[in-house]
Amino acid sequence: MNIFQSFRNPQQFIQGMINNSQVMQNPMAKNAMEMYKSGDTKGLQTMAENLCKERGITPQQIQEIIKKQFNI
Amino acid sequence: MQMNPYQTPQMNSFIPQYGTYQQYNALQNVPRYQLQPEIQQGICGKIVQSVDSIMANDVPMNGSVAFFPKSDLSEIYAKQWGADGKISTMVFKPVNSDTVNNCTDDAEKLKIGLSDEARITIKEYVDTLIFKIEELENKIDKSSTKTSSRNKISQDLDKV
Repeated sequence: MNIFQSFRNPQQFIQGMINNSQVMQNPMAKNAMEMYKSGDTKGLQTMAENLCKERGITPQQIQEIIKKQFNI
Repeated sequence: MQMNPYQTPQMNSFIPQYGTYQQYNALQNVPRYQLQPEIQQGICGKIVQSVDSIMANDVPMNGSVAFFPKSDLSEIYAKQWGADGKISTMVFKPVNSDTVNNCTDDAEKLKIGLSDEARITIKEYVDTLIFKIEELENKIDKSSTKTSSRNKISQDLDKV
């Protein structure tokens, strides 16, 4: 339930992530948060692409999965 | 009283249900701090046939390193998620301890050999320098004797 609530308010969700020390101990999450704060969308996109590549899927496939899950 | 043939299975089925309920209840009663993810102790990873069989899911995303020894122990792969979203891999290869000792001995021998060689080269260089200095000294001596004899002749001429 909290997850869905956080999706309604992304700002609050991000702030919660920043305040979570466990999340901020993760180098990847920390880097993502720093890029988000500095508005580095290009860096975030590259990171997402790298993650997809490592998992052997494309960003389009991820989009499709999310769309299916939310019935979009 | 005749028993209903369906009665026994129903009763039996009740017991596991109750058991399940108890398990569920037990989970509910577990203090919250125990359900929180514990800090992982020890080494993460597994034995693999080849590097290709390591999946992205096998590498923990908390930033820690996972080790994957090859089944024939010819290599150990250390994999870690980087901050950029890429998995970095380090490969460790075995070195026989006897070979290590031989290598260090060879290195020391090489060191001594090199210093001997260097000493010989330096000695040759110094010898050449000394020879050249002696040649120069001889030349200077000759020229000085020549000039002194010339001076003598000129002095004699002046007297005449």
